[in-house]
Amino acid sequence: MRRILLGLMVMLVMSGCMNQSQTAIVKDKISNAGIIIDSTATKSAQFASMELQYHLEKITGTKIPIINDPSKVKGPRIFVGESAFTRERGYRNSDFKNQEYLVSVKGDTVILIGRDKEDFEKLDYKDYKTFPNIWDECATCYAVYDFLERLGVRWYLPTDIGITFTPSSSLFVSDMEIRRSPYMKFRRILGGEQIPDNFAGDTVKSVKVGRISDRETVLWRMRQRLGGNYIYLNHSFYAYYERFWPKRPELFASGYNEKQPPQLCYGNPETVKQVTMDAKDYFDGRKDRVELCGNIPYSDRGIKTDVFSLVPMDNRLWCKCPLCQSLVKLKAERGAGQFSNDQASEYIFSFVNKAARDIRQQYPDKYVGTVAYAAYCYPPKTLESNVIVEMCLHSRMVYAPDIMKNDKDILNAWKNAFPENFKLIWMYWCFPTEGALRQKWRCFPPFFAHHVKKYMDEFVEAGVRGIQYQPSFSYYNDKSTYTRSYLLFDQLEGYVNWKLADNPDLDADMLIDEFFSRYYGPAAEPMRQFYLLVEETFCNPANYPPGTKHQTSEIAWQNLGTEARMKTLGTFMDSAEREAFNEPFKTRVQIFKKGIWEYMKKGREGFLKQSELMIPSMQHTTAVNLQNQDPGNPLTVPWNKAGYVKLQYGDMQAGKPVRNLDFRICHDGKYLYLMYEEDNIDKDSLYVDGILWKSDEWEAFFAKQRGEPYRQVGVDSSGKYVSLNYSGTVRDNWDFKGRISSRHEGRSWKIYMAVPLDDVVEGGIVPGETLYCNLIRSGREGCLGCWIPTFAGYHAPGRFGEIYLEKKE
Amino acid sequence: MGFIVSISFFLNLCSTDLSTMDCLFKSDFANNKKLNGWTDVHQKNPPNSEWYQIVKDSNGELYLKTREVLFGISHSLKSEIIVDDSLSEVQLLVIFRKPDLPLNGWPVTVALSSSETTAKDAGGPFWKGKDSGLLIIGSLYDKPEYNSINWQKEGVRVRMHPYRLPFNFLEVGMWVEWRLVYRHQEKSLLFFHKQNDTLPFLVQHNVDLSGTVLSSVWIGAWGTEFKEISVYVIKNK
Repeated sequence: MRRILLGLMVMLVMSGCMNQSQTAIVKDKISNAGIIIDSTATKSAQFASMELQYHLEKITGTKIPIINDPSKVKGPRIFVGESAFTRERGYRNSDFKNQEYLVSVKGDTVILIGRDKEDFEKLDYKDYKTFPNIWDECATCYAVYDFLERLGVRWYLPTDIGITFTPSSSLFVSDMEIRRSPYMKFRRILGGEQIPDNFAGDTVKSVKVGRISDRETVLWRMRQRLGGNYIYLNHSFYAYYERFWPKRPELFASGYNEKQPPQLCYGNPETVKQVTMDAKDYFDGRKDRVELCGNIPYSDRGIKTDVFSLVPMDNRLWCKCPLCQSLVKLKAERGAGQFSNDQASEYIFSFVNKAARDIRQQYPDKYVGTVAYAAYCYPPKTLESNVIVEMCLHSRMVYAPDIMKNDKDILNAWKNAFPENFKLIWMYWCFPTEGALRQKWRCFPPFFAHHVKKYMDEFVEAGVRGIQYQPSFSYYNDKSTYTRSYLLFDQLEGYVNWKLADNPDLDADMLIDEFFSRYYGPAAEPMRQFYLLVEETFCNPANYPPGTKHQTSEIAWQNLGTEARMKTLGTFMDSAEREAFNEPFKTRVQIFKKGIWEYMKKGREGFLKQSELMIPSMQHTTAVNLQNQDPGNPLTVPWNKAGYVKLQYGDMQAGKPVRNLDFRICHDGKYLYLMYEEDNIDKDSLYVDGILWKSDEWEAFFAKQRGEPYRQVGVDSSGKYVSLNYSGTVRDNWDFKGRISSRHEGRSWKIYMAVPLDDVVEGGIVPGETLYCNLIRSGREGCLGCWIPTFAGYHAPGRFGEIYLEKKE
Repeated sequence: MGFIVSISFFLNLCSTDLSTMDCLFKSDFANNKKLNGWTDVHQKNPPNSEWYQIVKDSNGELYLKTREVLFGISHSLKSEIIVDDSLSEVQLLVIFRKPDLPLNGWPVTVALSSSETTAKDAGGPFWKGKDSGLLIIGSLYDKPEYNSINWQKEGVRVRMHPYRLPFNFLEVGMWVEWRLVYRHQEKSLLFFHKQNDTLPFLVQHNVDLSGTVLSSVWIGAWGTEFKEISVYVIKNK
């Protein structure tokens, strides 16, 4: 019924049978209306007028001229931005608040104006480089977009194919006056700036996909009304290594045997003093953020902000000095067992508070910003009033009730503890694609549009005034996970998200319903059915193994994209194709078919094929319990008594082995010992690169369970090694406490390794337990041999083999 | 003799009350020369007599001689083994010989499977990507990759190769006795590959067949000669 009413409203505006109080902008393809902008209009007003002209022509086929002199317009006049006419009526740019705008229709006069940056440079509609920046004030653009939406225009995808409207030879407008501003003051999609030209791409390296033009990308951001008040909060101390290491070791975490300590010493007053000085240098304009912080996206460089970011490095390896350690809890209390918890909240926020106090003394109108993230996700006991906090939440993981509950607890905790502080949200929409990209598989589509309203209401209730999400990603190259978006996975949820960010009171169900009818036209019903089945399947916890955190290929195609569901979805797709007989609906259905349905079919088919190969490839072995005369020394192990494992696979797809590779494994109750061996190898043929992962090297992966968290250590032929921890979005250094030696014995290359059992995995492991593990021989060409083929990338903890630690008889 | 010794041995091995031990299958080739009840890849029962025959050796002992074909035959158990908390152990015993043939590199394979008959898709104990059960794959080759014990649940298999010398599970021309013991409470799989072994040659841990139902015993052909195949189950009191 709602859809029928909406359709009628649009028809009333478009059709010719209007009553006398309405004004015809275009009648029977003829118009004497004009779009009027001042000769010295802001860039925002210039752009807005061109967008208005473009869309009105799309609807009516009639181009309405943009002119400076209102007296030359004989018919309806559409004033865009500040001009003499608006000033006479009391509408000045400077009278509008930040992001505020007005849509006014009185008789044959339309005024579209908002707060704009006073930038009067000339704009070329063909050249996106001249367009306003989304972070500049450009509320006249918001006014035009609002007006166009009231005329029935919607933007569901970039480029013309994503614009919906009802073509009409006549266009009428009714009297109205709306003065408002977007509810969320900060609106951003972080990463995935490149949009594939098929709006999808793939999560596996496949055929090369181009991308839409920069101009279309910028138009898409503008039409979504991204931007607002610029804030960028992210890990902000990486530049400290270049600036201060090793000159000022006191600023850095102590207790690590690494070339670079993984964190700063946040308890040290000198560290507080330095970051305070950085903030002052920034606010005074002496230095820019790139120099001070590093880690600033290229597109953000040069943008000024009143918020100075103080965010630790992306790991949990805190300084081990007594002062710092006294502030880190031994175990998390709130959020125990979750990625997001309170283990280091007091520690990190005590540092942030100290800096905030110092900065406020000199800059009372400026802010310090930080994130509530991972081990410092819950609020501390106190927080300075000039601290802005961005909570990092998993809003898309609605299928995981424990994660959802913890996120809600975090939100409520901040709301109750510090209701007055400005709060933002960072959402991980990047899962499951990020995992799929890393491990090279295809995921079940993470549709969840009907859940957007729920979290938005919670954000509003918690006083949140800014949101951003990391989008779904698609393959770009082996190094860049965050470059290219998988827009079709976020199409409807992104639309609803930004509409509610603008106005949280909107009816989300109505937004979703009209999406299908407007965008898919005659194919709306089967496309809606398709979406709803995928959404219900993805979101329902009952469809997942208990305790699931992240989607895996097994979950995707054994639990979610089952044979029965795929069959049903196939019938919806067939029906949609039949019913979408005309353009643009036909093309839109084809875009979905190629980007979602065919991706899903490939995902499931690939999984089933791999499953057959996978069946015999999972392995179990025993780490023999024996005595080492020099515990911890891998060179004194009686290796002839250790367990022997031959590497039977030449690549990650279970290909035949080409090299002669094996490993031996044992333990002595305190250390795990590993010896990798490759026979028939020339020492000189082994490549050593400055980046270890590009070298000829061996990699070991260790976990306490078949899944995250896990640890990785890679060793090259020179004995250099890199050790890392992985848990959710966190990848940090593993402070490796073992010993490693690389040796060449004749034509044999051996790596000897000892790892303390209490450190090989988080929390340690004891004899009688099972260590989950994979061992990979890697070179410049990629995998040259492995114990367990993952049928994906190296990082596939769901495919770790089992090593049982033999108990002493 | 081998059979008697082995049974007495693993009765000693088990601490469970003997009265709860049931024999769910015993091949008894002497009294089943036509191989009634055995099903081949074509679902034929008895199986193709050209491929599977009961013959007598020089000592007058009867055994099953198989052709050098890739497939195998299966026989249903007297009753299904429901793997739940009432189950203590499942024991699979097989006495066989690999004759000195040109194809003696072909492995010897024995399994307990949830499939009721030989899988039609490949003549093995498990339908591809489906079924649960236990499987031994052994060969003459002294290389770990040619010898393994395996368990699988609903198509997902975990295998374990020998990790200590000698790696081969059998020797050519000799009667060999294999015993595979699944201990449900301990979630372990014990493999004894020589008669009178007191300690298992391999122990696989984290073996969990909970919720599965084992219905048949399966043996691979590949020229192997079988003297005895038995399946026992021990229930908790």
